Amino acid sequence: MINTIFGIFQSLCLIIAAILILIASIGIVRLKDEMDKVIYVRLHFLGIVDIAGVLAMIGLNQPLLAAIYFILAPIVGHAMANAYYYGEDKNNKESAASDNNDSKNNNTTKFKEEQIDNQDEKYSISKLNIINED
Amino acid sequence: MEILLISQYILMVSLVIFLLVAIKITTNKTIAMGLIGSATFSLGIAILLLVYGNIHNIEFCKDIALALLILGVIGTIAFSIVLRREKHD
Repeated sequence: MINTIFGIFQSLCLIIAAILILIASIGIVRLKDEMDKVIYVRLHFLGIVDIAGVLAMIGLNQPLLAAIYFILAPIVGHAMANAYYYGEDKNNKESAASDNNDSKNNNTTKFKEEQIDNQDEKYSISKLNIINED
Repeated sequence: MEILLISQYILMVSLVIFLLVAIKITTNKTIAMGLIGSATFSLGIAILLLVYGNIHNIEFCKDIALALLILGVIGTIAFSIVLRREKHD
C-alpha cells in the first residue's frame, strides 16, 4: 500500500516536471530574438526548468542531488545575468560610459579650481584693475 | 509500476525536446546566450542520464549525473566571472 502511494507520488512528480519542461521549452521557442533584453526573459523561463529538474530528481529517488541543485540553481542564474549585465548589455555600457564622462568632467573642473586657487596673485591684480577703472 | 515507467518515458521525451531548445539557445549570437544554453544543456543531460539509469538499473549513470551537475555549475560560474571582467579591459 505504502509502495503504491509512493509510486504514484513519484510518477506525479515526474509528470509535473515533464509538463513544466514542455511549457518552458515552448515559451523559449516562441520568444523572438529581436526582443529587447530577451536574455533575462529566457533566464526567467530557465528558472522554471531548474525547479522542474529538482522535482524530477525527487521523483527519481535522488533527494540529495535535488537538494544540491536546489541550492546551486539560483547562484548560477544570478551569475549568468550578472555576466550579461556587466559584460554584454549595450544599454548598461552606454550608461556606464556616460557616468565615466561625468566623472571625468568633475575631475577636470576640480583641477581647474585648484589651478585658480594657486594663482592668487593674478586675481589680486585683476581686482586692482577693476577698482582703478571704477 | 506501469504508471511510473510511463511517466519516466514522458519525462524523457520532454527532456529531448528541451535539449533541442537548449541547442537553439546555444547557437545564438551573444556569448551570454551560449553560456545559458550550455548550462541548461548540461542540466538536461544530467536528468536524462538519471531517468535512463533508473529505467535500466545502471548505477554509474547517477555518478555521471552528479559530476555533470556540479562541474557544470562550476564552469558556468567561472565563465560568468570571465565574461563580467571583459568590460573593464
